[in-house]
Amino acid sequence: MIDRRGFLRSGTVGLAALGVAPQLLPAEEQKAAPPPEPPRAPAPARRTLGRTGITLPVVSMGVMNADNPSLVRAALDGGIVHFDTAHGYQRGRNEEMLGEVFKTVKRDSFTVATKVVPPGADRSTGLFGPETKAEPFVEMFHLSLKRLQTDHVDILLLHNATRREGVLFEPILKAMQRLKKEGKARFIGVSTHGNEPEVIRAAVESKVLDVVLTAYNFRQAHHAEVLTACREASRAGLGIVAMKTQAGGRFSKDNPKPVNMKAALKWALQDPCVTTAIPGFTTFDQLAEDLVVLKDLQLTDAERLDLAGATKSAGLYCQQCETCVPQCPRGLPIPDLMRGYMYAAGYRNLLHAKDLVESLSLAEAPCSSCTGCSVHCVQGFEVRPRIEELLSLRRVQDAFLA
Amino acid sequence: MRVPILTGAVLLLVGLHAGAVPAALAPPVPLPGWATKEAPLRYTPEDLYEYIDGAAEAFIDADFRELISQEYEAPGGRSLTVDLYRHADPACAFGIYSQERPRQGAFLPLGVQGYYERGILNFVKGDTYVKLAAFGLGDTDRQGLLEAATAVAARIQGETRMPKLFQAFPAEGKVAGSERHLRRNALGYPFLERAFVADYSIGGKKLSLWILAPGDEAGAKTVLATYLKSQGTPDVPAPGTPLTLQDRHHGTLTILRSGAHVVILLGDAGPGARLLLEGVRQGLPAL
Repeated sequence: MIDRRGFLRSGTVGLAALGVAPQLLPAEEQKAAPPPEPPRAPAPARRTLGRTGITLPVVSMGVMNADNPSLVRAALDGGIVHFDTAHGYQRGRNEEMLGEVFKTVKRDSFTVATKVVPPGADRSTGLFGPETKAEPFVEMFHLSLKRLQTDHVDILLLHNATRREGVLFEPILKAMQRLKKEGKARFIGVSTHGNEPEVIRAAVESKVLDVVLTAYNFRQAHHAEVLTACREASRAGLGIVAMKTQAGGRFSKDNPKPVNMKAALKWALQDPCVTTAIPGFTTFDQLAEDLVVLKDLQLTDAERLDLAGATKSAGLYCQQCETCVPQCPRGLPIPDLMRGYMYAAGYRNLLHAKDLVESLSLAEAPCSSCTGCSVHCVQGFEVRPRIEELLSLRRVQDAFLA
Repeated sequence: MRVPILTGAVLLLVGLHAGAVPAALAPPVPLPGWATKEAPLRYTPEDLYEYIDGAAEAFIDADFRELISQEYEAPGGRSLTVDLYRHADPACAFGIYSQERPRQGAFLPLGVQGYYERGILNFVKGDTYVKLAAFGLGDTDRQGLLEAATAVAARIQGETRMPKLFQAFPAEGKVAGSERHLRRNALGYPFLERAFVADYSIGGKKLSLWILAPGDEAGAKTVLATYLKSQGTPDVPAPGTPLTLQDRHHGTLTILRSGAHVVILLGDAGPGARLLLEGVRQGLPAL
């Protein structure tokens, strides 16, 4: 939609394109033209966080790596309202630092989310065992409140869920509901940066969770699926917060050029179902860059190009989407092989890579009967050369790889 | 040498993504009573994110070089993970450790320093930050972790004292356990690097003392001039002369240059500020 200023600007351009300069207009028309408006900063974009009804600027602060109260104050001064921390960040010092700032400002001038991992969570499976009980989870949350110097948080999140079963684990779910009822957490939810679509859908299924904090960025091979799940959750009334919006950019093996962080942040905010994002920053310059996005969400052509360039480098991490499997006429277990390639080329763990290859019981040269490769990896991996390099490990004795 | 025996394709694999990091695979540290579960995993700055997610940023800012992660198991469903984070130098390793450790508590005399909390034991030695996480140890949790950590520490070469620059911090008023190091982005400014920090409590006021070590006198001059310019104060005071100003983000701050170092006192300490800074200035040349 074009605004008044845009209309005037395009109108002028249109006249110029027709060869009509403004000074050539009749005098009365020149008089009738309104005076130019003084430059005015656009208002920060705000969105509503689902059924919570909380309205937030689209840019919030992921406090995780910040150890600087002045930076938090500067963020508040710059228009950031929402702050995301966790019980475990910096072994609690992150919450303590925030608490020192929060005690100096009005409680209704900010919102805060914290996250708690229940003791006994198995990181590798994303499941909880019999050791996982509600009491220690609640105790940890109370300690978080104490560190934050507040009697309630706005959002309490189950930290780092990766499985439906984890989200729906009844003892923790009930404990969170109880804390909400007691007013210690205004709203409850879940955070996820693995297997996100399943987790997001489980949050909807729970019928009691209000918010999802999810990894979502332009580099995720499955970002479309994450967005679909976010839209479903949003339609069901959940609020969506995006994290890791610039993730991987700085750390890609194949692309030493830093990602355009501002562009990446804008990208994650293009769909209105994402209420806000929580980029992390540790300098005032980085804060200033993110504050620009707060008032200008429009991706420029140059920014789009930057992101397109950054996605061309595929990296080493196979997302295990298995799209490639039916494409291979030999039915090779390509996701396993790409995992093995990552062990070898990424982790330099050649023995581990060889063990994996041998466990797959493949033919001597499985790709040799194909003249070309019909597999098109959605991440852009050159599948065949990687397989051939990896399989050559079988010819090397273990002693040389250990 | 092993490498020449490898096939060309394997050499290609090994050579890929070499970056600036040496390709050595650390052999697992043998721990009495524990068996290694799988071969160790190795991460570099480019893929550390895959292991510790967003926390990777702080490690990379602290000049992280590589991580070797080894899982162990023992009868009775007990498990142990030992993560060895190697950084560019001991100060950086201490820096990331100091960001994660609790401010208070009983520290362990393990390497430079360590601490225990149920299920975890972390310590730093030389250029390596070591994190142990145990599961299922029950009543033997502390003892089991301590024994494993001691065995790991014995295998690591390196410094067992805090970075030398901390000796320049006056003892009076210093808050115990508050020493920390930031490799970059000190005080939120990208031009302030290699900062050694400790907190003080003087006359009921909370202060923090920062010593920046850019490497030489020219570097220190540049740092001071850049900082002052960022605050709209173009006049650079003479070496050793403290200047008190209002930092636009941090409030009252006193700054001085002493040789190859820039010293900053954050907070309004009144006359005590100059005394504290003078104490630092006198201590620095000896280091």
